Amino acid sequence: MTPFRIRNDAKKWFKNIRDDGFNTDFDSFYICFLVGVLTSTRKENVLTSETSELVDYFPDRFRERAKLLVGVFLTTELNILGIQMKEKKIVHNAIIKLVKPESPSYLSEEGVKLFNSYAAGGFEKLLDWFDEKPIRLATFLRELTRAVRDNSEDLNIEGGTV
Amino acid sequence: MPLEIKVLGWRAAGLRCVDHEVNFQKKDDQTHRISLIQMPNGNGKTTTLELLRAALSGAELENVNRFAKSGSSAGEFELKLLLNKKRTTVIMNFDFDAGKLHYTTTRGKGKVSGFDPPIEFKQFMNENFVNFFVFDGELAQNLLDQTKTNADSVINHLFQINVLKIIEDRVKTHWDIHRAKVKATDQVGLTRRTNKVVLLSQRLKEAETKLSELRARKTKLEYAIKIQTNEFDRQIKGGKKAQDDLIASRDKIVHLEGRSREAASALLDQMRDPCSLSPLISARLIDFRQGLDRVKLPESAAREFFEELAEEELCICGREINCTIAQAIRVRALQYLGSDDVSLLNGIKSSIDSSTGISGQLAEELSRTVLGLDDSEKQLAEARTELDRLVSLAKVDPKVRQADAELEDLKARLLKIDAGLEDFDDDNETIPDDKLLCIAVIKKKLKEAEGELAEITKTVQIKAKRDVLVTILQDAWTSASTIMKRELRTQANVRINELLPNNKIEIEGIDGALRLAGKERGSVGETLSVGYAFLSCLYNRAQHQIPFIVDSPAGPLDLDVRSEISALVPKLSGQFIAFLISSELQNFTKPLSKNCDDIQYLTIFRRGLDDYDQSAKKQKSHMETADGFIVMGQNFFESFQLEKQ
Repeated sequence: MTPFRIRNDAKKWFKNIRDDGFNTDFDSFYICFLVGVLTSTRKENVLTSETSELVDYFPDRFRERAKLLVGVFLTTELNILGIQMKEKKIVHNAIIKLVKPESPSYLSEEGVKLFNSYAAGGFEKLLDWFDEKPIRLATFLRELTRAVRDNSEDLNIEGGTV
Repeated sequence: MPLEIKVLGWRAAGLRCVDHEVNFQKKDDQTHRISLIQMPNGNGKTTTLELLRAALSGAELENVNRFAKSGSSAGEFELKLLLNKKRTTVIMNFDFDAGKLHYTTTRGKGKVSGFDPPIEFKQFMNENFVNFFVFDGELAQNLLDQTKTNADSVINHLFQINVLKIIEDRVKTHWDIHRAKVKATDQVGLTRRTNKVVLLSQRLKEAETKLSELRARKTKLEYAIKIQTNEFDRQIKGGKKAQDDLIASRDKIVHLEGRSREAASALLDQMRDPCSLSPLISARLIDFRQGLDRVKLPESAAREFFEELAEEELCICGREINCTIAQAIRVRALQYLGSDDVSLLNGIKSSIDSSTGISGQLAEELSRTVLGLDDSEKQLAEARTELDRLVSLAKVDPKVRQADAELEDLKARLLKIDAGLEDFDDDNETIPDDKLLCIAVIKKKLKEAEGELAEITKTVQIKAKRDVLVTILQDAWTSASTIMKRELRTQANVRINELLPNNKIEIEGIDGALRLAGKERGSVGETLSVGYAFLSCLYNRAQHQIPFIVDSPAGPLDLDVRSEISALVPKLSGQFIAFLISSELQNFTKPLSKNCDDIQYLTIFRRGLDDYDQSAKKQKSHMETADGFIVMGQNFFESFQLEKQ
């Protein structure tokens, strides 16, 4: 099964708070993904050698929210593709390409790659939002909620590929 | 394994030769040692020989209509063989209307279209080799013609010298397959990969040493900081209260840091539900959820329902489902989601419902946690300010200032070491090998490099072994072939001298064809004698048992040579089949019968020779065909004399 992958520079950027409260690298990956989908930002063509392999499923506390996260992903991707939720056949074909029920992540290979590209794109946004890499989890999360709030106007406009 | 070919018999019908069937089989799959077939000129002897060569080699014959019997639109030639004691039948079907010939082979696995003897027999059952055991005067001439004969090939196959070439090919193929799998095969590649392993091994050692040193220095510094902090406290004057205030301030910071960390963990946990961070996500999810309902996804029926319906004879409405309708249902079923997809989409919808249903509550909780965290951070900042104030007050004393400066220096050094240790976590694999610090990456690269080195080391060894083995095989082949040809030449010359003591003819060499000393070719009789001499030596020495079929074995020979040849014939092969005409019998069959007690006599002739027709019909062992007779027995054979021969 295709695993989720985190950018190496993102892993390094989160290092301090990885030691200060994140349970796993998946927390770093998730924050990146969340910012990626919030800003509808994808970064494709990241070299595999520039990424680290994570797991091929949603671990720990994310397990119970796996389908919700797939829903968030589908919502964003269909939106980016400009698919109107009116044409059943088009929606059906788009969804069927991205999901795979028997996969541990519920995502097809293409779905996982795109999911990863949102995380990669989200990290680019974090670099825009933060001048320095975070040192403490508490400071980072407060600044993150503030950044999300401050950028909420931008979040309503169409995003795109970095 | 030695191979054995025996001809059990053949049958010809509808062809240019007299329709006939011959059977050389005795009891228990044994064949007669010698079978002599007398067939007058004009009865299709040459045709029969050509058919035999084709049936034994699968040759594609040109102008097949030349084999047609007058007025015949189809013909058949059937050859029965015993190949290593297993029956094989080759049938040649001629379609003269279409001008086509078709082979059929029947053996252990049943009847197959085409010429298909067992694979191990193909080395003998081919167009080159068949000329060495279906032999006539013309082919005797060919033995001396390099453009028409490849005696080397026959010697190679008959004495299994070709096995050396087969092994050589296998060795080369093995190498080619191995080489296709690996990236580098030569010494340069080996050196490059060896150097890489050496470099990475050194790098691993250096990195481990450096990391160990840094960690030791860190431990030492952390201890020094602890001691220096105590020293700093000890230097503070102004009584116990000032010291207690400082300690209390530090404790407060530790406490508030813990509280802040707990609040941050709680906030992170709340953020793990995406709906809590931004109302935008909830709004989008709700839109998506409603959109799915709008387009009726997932459907209430899954694809499997329609696929199963397509297998039914009747629809649920009672109408018949024929092939066309079933196919249409199957095609349209693809527009529906599978049951797993349906289940997943329903699961996603339920999750959206659950999360967005309480998204307001989640957002509120998150806000509260953020406020709590803000409060903790604010208190923490105040506590740090208070600590700074207390430290500043204390630093009025030069001794305290000195202790603090030393403490700060230690802390700065610790920070530097931490920064240095951080470099060891850089798992970027694109860093050049000689700059790598991350132990895990170095180990991973070293393992890969060792794997590549092992691969090329093995490859270089295999290449060296291949070269040695191929040289040995080629030398062995050349040596075996040369020795074999030399021995055959010597033996054949002894035999030629016995057959033609006064002709001063001898084989000088075997270079594809036989090369005679001092002359290009001899008379017809000489050439045939040379051919017999050579072939008798060839077959006597070989382990394989191959029949020897000869047209006019004695025809062009002088009478005195005939008796010599007749002594040679029984030694040629385990089965000798000869086509003769009556004029050849003199000085041949009688001496032959003295040298062999297992001779079968067959006379085949076209109907129309009144005396012989009547005489044949009187014979007990005779067979009448559409246009001729086959008579078995020595008496009829010897009494059959046609003047025009």
